[in-house]
Amino acid sequence: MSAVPANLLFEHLRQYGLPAEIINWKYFDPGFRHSGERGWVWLKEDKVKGLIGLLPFTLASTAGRAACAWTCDWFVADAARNPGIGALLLKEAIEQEGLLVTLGGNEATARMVPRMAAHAVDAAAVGLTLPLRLGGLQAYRALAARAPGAFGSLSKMPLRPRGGRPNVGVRTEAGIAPPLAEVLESATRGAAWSPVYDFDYVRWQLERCPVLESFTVYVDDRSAPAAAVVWRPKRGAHWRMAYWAIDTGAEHCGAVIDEAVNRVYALGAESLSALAGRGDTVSLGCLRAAGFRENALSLPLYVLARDRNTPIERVSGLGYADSDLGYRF
Amino acid sequence: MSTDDRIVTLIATTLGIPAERVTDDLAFSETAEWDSLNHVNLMVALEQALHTEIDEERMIQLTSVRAIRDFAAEQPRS
Repeated sequence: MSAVPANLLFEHLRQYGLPAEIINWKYFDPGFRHSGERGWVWLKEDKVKGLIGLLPFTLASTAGRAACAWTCDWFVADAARNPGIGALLLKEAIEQEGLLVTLGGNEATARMVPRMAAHAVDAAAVGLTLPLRLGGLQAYRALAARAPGAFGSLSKMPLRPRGGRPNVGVRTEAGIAPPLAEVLESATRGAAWSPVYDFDYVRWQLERCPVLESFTVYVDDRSAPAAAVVWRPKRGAHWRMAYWAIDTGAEHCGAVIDEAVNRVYALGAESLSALAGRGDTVSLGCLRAAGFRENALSLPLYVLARDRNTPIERVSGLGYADSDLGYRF
Repeated sequence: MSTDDRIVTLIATTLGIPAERVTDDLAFSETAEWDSLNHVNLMVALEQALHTEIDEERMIQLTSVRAIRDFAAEQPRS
């Protein structure tokens, strides 16, 4: 992709419904420092006719670190008349990059990627939601969609009192606050491979994304770092959260979640959602303790590797900061 | 085994279908087994069998058994 003129990429991505501001942020943000290609492209008659986007990141475990990339924006123009180009792009990306991970994806992904994956995990990540007002209930939203006149005005009706008061010092700052850097560095990494992001990555993903507004909640205790980034589409009623902590900081984890709930409730939120790995018992426990319940969202994960004997069989510590899920509400 | 027979066997094996189904009119996306991924697998298998390279332009043209047979017939015998 780095060898392709930006205007050609831009034109192609626009055809698939990506707004100009998202394309500029996602593929041309000069502040998103990374190593590795941002994607692979099929050029035909000097036009981009196929693309697979990549988001480079690092996987880490107690065994070490591995350069990796999330896949995204996998589009082939007129796919029916260009057989095999989608598969060819993905094969080439795997060959060149060595290690890719796909989380979720569309119908084409579900049809093709499992067959190309070294490892596939069904329902690797699950969504959890805490409804805060009537509009945060799925059942209400279904009713309101059918009869907006009758139900639409009730969406702001509170469902619950504000969350518990955190029993440790918790701070909140607009955007992505610098103390998050330390939490990202020290977040627990066990034997299972999990994504590692640095401060710049999270700022790019959740602060500079032009359609989001975000804030950071963090425990003001450097002995047990825990922090959450909370965001919504600008002026939206439904918020999302990603958090990082060390295992021994489960109490602090609860504190940042409580504060995030309090804060979004005060801002008129109808719901707050998070994503967690199916096997991430600590995360799931913290979220459930705060009143979050599983919603219908369930995402498969595919590890695509040049070496099909890769020891990376699954990825834990999943959340809404992964892949390009952050802005896709 | 003739080149034609080799091509039929190669297509049947790659797509995982009986050789009797590999007729000249069989084409990409007309059978569930011949999808995008298997099309790439078929092209890779064809490259190896014919000792040739198939670029993307050619790949998107070789979408029927007839086209593949014609392509194979054009290749120099090894």
